[in-house]
Amino acid sequence: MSELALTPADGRSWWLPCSTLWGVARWRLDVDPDAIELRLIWITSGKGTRDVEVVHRIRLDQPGPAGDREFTFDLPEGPYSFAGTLVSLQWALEMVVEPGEDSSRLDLVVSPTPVEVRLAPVDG
Amino acid sequence: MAERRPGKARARDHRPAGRWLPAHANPYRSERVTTLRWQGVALEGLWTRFATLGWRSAIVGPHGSGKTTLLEALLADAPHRGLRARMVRLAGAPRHPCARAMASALAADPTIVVGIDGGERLSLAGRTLLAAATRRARGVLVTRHSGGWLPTLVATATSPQLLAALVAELAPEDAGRLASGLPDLWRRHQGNLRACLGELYDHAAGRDSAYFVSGLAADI
Repeated sequence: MSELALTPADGRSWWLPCSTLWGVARWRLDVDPDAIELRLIWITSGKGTRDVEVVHRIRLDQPGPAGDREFTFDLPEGPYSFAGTLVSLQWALEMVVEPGEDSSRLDLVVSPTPVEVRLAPVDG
Repeated sequence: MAERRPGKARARDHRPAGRWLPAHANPYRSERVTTLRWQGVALEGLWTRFATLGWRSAIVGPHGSGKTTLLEALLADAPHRGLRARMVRLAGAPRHPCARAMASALAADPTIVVGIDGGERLSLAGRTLLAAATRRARGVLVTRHSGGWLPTLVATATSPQLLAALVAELAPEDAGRLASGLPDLWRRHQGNLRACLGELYDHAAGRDSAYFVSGLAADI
């Protein structure tokens, strides 16, 4: 059974914009993959069309069936993680094995505050 | 247009007071709705009919009746029949899609089935270009709101029962609570399931959906 793990430094899930996100990717696969790609993405979710942006990617060619690798990604100024009733924007790290459908995703908060910016309705 | 009665509607709304549901947790968010499976006629019979019609035909139906869902289901099934599939989405495209862009998108491959979503956007000239660009393709399937250009493969239609089935799939915890209001919701949107699910999205998000809430209230 395949195992994919993304572990950001100190297990942190909150990162400041413009900071450097770093951590370790670890994989134990049943097959010898052609490549593994680590991606820093943001993705929208909600009532309208979904937007996905791959902000950075690191491609590991012929990584072998098992291994680990440190990674760093420079986070941009934005967009901040936010959640509203019509649309939310979430940041995530992804590890995708090629070929095949094995993948792993770890949600992150990229924001000046430890929680996503909340666009809640205001009464009155 | 129905008059909104916020006081009465709120009194009969079963949503917990003060609940706020972010978009990424809404069970009716678009990425869930667009992955709903086709629940109509069996694909096997449609492939047989497609061949009988000479591999050129149309999926015809009104807005929100499942045309795109069916087209995607057929194209996803194509590889199991030794065929390749390509989808061209014309929704939001210019009124007269560029011939060169279309020709490059539609490889001259005798095993390919080309799905054109939004065929009503094609002018007469566009249809001529499409016919030329797909001359060597095995099949061409077009979604349209009305028939008359290509033979109709299937006419899509919806029902309150289908809406209830989709709600049960998307939000099983809501299905019982909403059941009595769904037929009215379906009627008000004239069977447009996309519009129905859009209203259910707003309702789940706590964005006042007065009509739907009123519809529920009338049944309680």
